[in-house]
Amino acid sequence: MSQMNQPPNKCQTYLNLGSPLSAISSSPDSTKLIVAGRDIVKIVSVQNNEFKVTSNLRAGKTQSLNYTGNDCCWHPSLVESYRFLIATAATNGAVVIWNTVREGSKSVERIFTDHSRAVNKLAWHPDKLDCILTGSQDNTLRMWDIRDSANASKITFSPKSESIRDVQFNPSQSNQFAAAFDNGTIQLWDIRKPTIAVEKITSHQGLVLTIDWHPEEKNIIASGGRDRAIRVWDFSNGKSLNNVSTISSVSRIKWRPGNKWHIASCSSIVDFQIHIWDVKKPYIPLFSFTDHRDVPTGLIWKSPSSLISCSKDSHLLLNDFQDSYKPYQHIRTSGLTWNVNNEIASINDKINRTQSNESLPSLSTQFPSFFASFNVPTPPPLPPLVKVEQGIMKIYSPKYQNSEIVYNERYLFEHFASNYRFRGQSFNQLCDHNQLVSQVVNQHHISTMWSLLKLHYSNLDQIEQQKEQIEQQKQELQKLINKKSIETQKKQKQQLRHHKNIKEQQFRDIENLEKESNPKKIIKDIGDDDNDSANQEINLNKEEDEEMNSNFDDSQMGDIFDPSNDMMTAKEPPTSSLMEFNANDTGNDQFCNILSAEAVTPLVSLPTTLERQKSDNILDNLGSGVNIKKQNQPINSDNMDSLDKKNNKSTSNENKDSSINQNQQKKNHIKDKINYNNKDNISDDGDDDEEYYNDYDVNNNNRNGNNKENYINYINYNNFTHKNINENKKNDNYDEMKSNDEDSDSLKIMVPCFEFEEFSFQPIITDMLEACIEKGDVQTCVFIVLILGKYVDLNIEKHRLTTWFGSYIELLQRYKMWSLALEIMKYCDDQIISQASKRHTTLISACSTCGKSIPQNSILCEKCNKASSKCSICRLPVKGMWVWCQGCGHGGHLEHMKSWFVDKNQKSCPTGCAHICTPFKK
Amino acid sequence: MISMGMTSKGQNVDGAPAGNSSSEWIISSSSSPFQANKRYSLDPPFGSDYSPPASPQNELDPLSSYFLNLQSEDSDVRKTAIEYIINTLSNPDNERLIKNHLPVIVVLSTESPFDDISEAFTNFLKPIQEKYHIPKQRTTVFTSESQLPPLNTDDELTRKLFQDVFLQHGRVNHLTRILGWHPQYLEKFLLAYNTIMRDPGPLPLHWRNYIGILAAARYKCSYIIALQEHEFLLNNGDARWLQGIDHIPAKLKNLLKVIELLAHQPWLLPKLDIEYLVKGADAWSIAELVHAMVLICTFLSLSGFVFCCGISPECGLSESNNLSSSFSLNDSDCEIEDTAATENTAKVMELLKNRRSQQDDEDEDQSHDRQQDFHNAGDDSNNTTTTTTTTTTSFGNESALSQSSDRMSDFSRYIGNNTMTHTDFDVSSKLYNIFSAQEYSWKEHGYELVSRYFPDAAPLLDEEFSFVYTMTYYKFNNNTDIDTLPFRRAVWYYVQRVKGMLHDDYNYQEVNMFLSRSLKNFVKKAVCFPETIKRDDYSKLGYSLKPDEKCHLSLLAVCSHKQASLLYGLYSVLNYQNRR
Repeated sequence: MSQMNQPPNKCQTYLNLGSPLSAISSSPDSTKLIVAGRDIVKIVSVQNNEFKVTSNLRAGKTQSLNYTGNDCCWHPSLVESYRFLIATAATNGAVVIWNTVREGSKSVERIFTDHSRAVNKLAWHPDKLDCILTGSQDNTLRMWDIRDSANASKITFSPKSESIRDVQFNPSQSNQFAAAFDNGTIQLWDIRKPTIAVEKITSHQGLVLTIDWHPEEKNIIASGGRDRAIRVWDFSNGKSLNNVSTISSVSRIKWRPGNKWHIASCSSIVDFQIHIWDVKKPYIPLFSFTDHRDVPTGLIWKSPSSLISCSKDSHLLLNDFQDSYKPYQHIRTSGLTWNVNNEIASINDKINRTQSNESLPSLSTQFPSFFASFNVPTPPPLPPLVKVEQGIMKIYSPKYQNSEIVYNERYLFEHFASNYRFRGQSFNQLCDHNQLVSQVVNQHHISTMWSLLKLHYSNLDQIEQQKEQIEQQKQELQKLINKKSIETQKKQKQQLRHHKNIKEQQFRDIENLEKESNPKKIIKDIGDDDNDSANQEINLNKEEDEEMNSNFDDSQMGDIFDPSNDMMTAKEPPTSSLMEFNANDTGNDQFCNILSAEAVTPLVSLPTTLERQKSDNILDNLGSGVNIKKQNQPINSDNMDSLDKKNNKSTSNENKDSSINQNQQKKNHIKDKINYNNKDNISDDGDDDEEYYNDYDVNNNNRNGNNKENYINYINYNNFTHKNINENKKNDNYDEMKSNDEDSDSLKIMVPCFEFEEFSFQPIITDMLEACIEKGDVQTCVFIVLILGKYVDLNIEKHRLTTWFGSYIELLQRYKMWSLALEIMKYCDDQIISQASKRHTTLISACSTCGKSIPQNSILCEKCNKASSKCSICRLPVKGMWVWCQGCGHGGHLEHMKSWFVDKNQKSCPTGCAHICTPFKK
Repeated sequence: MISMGMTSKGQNVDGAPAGNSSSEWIISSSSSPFQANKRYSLDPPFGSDYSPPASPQNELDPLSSYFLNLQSEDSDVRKTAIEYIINTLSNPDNERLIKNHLPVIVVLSTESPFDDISEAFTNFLKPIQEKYHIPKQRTTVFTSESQLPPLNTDDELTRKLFQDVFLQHGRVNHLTRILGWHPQYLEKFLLAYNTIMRDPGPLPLHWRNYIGILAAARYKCSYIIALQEHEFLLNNGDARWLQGIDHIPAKLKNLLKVIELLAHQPWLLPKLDIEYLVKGADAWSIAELVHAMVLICTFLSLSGFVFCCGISPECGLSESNNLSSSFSLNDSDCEIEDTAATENTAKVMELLKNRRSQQDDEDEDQSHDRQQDFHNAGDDSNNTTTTTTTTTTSFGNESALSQSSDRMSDFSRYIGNNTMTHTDFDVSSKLYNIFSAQEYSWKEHGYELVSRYFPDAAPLLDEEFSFVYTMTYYKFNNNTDIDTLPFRRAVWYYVQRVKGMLHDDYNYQEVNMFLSRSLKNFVKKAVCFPETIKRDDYSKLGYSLKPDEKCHLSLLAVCSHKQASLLYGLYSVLNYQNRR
């Protein structure tokens, strides 16, 4: 054992006895102490707060182990003949009674050697002055009568348990004593009944090392054990009252006089401090004495504010409350909280609770921290971002650090409307997707809602799978219908092509379709035949078009089917379409992987710096598209090669154009985007732009199939655009207010979700929806209902749902998002809503020259007898998609217009009418 | 190969293409309910060689999945597998297969607790025994096979443990078989062993094996080394490490000194500054160090036990089949009549029976100098004859020398330059102190330290210690209803005395009272230089004891040794911590 001979630094009263100490006991008048150790039994006087060795009982004794002091106990009586008696217990099992009045070798009054192994504890009987009780390692307790020198062992208690670590008489009932055992029990014995214990409490795991009766409360006893706990028990009912967890096995405890529930403890290993606990506040010691350099072994309260302790470091200390270390004053107040926006707020403060600020030395001269000496590794230095500052509350946002972008409401609405998905994927995927959609625009409360939804109902996917099977069957059926539908579709287009409104809607439809269709799923359904599948893919899209635009039922299709109109071919070579499709599929997967890692974070783990970096990365990916682009590079270049070849072979003008266009899209992806951005910067919400987007998108759609990557980039450059726009008009106050509101709302919802295994989340979701509605966010509600409504009864009155849907559709229509509105209508379970699409869908088109209305199913004006919609560039009538300038009314094939305005970089109308169709283009 | 895990891993280690085996793997994994266990298997049997790890079969083996099926609890599955294997092997075309699987078959016929398996394969082997020169399998060279606990024992617990071990590892290894004499201990042993070797803990699995190897190498215990080398490879250990300590990381090398001291002169360990271990680039964390201490002590004591019981090498695991050269294989002379035995036994019986009166006598001459008692207890001679301690030491060295031929030099690669050997603990030495068990006890201090860093292991070790200390059948040879505590205690404390550990509350006179000189000799060898134990030592213990009692005795000795060395190890860790 390390012996430190230098004096302790703070404690004023100390004595170095030169040899490890294992026990102390105080004389009844508190003026003297007996100190015992392996090589030492000494009497020390305590006067004027000073220790002085008065006699050495072992002086002149042999080195016999009998005189080692494993424990010692001064006779508690003040009666003249007994007050000088001392008992010591030895590690070899001997019990020695000393009479301190006598000197030298005469001081030994009695030696009892009946115990075969070490005696751990002594206790004088409080009333029967001649009796002493011992507890030993040899599994027995003995009661001795010191008057009988030959046969002193009067009563032997053999509990048939294990070694006894501690014994103590019950202060309120002198016939009873408690004993602590190696097997984890505390037993209550009656000296009149030596055969069996009165009461038994299993109090600790492993050894019980110490017990202490409460000095005032009857039947209350505290115990400390190897399991590092201090427990308080009521022996009258065997109940545990308190439990204090310490950091090391508890070797001694002592109730503090004058403070009912305070108790001092020390440890047998590792921890050298003496702690004083309030058992009612078990988490942190009230104060600690930190002066010992080895484990303390004995505790005696001299007064409520001073404690005498001895230790293996050979020192006897008088610890004064004044000198103690008060962890409570030094522990930093740290608060940590986490809101729905994935932000962490921390407060880290050193608050001095005592008023006298000056009297305390600075922390650096104090003990650095409560746990410093316990070999707890110091936490690694905090990353610079989380720099700790005193008294300051910090809010760390995991992703957007300080530059949170504020989006205007309209943009958000449009963003959500066009990017949310509610079908075509598994429930979990949908939730993940929608969560991402809301995260991209910093709507963390909404993203949290989605992740919650996923968390609560993640098992829905199984149901989904069953459904999918059914759906697959359905799709097989659809294959059969496809041929019919494509033709119907074409016919329709011919009929409707002249009407501007219709066209706009159509573009929207296609754009929408592109977003909602799930490439993975479709590719599963696609057969081996490339042509077939590609066709099918296109057909599917068209079928949907048809369904939305048409007021014909399936039964009517046959009637309007007209083979003569079947002059259109598939718009692009099927093989290239499929290839593109595959490539995108891969890209999609990669993206999804990143996505899924991110998607679960808000609820599951704390956003550490690492997390933040990760999200930053994702953001980077989103922002530039470069990384994803890189990952896809091989595929893309392959694609391009093959496409190039195709281009060379291609005979069709249109195809060539489109392929070149496509390549450019690929190669100059970023550049393109910048162009778009620029454009967008100029006119925020002009119709021209929207059309332009449509244009771009339709293009994508036609050429690339379901190009998810493009889609994501698309979302993203939207974001970027708006970031630019909004940076100027950022309104911090507003945003804060808003997010505060959101916090409180979502937090309420978040709390109970982990508590029960079997738990209906429906009320929570309903609450959530209500809260959402209250905030005016009908959009999210509608999507949640659309996704969840199939599986879960949300317990919302039907008319309310109808109102929600109605208002959402109305909103969509206000923002001219017709196709989205139609889609919602179509998939809404509510009859009232879904039938709304059947009303007022007859579209009237008129001839551009004479103004006469053109009947459906016809492309010629009856009056002028010519096709009114001629392409301004090729002069041929436009069938299918037609784009026109709303300023001058001229337009033409989508492709031609695009090549005119984009590739040839023109501003004015191709007809030469001198109208500047794209005035903001640079 | 029975063990698919081994096949594929072995190949990986070799860097051989694993194409064939991967397809095999799929087949076997679908058919074996125990595939998950394979990763942990202690000694998935039958690697034909263990160092360097030769990949046993590179070609696709049609039988492997069936061999794996033998490790099934379902008797029907086993039956089908047996039939298939026997049929396949009986086919004259498949002679090559027989050769490949011979070790497996031998093990199955001799080390399976399931009658169906052992019978079938024993019958299969009978006709071809001559042809392939199958050596007679022996579990231990000290006792005849018939005295061992039968594999299909009637004892409920033993059988269950054997079967568990077989289902997990594909064999009941010799060590387990011997411990089957004391099933309750075996149960606790397996629990503790599995925890420190396989459960999540501070050290990676293959490090644990390697530390096992290093510790066993100190006592030149080829049996343990072979087992651990095997498991080391299964745990994806680097095969190069098995070429010796020149190939291991510096961090592991740093531990060599500790292992050396613990094995030979543990009392020097507290003087060793372990700072070099826990500081610097290759630092051990305290948790790792505590785990390592537990491992070292476990394997030191296990090695001792292997020698105590003369456990013979596992079939198919150990290269050294010539081990028999150091032991006579003649069954009949296993039990050499010990002339002193009867007399000594009678004397001890007398002492045990009259223990009470004996103690009273002692009380009177308390004046005995305990220091002297302590010293005397460690003496190899009884009080009367004063042979110097050097005799034993030189004897130990001598025998070590005699055996240090090729077999021993094998393990020098794990020992390196650390050539410390045992010297007797000198009670009055100025270089080191007597370790006081009162100052630092297992129950109060050691336990706490282990539980702090390796919480699962502490209670299991504690249980193992206290169980061994208290285990008794109230028998002494043929005498029943005898409390053998003083005798057992004498062994326990004698071992700790040899290791320099003093218990205040033990009367060291008892050691010489109860233990004969030859027994002390045997026990001392078991815990200090077990490699020198010969069959003579085993059979001439000085008492007429049955083999299972001798096993019990050995257990007492090695467990006491384990506790003592563990205390030294933990004490030095604690000492270091306190210093800071």
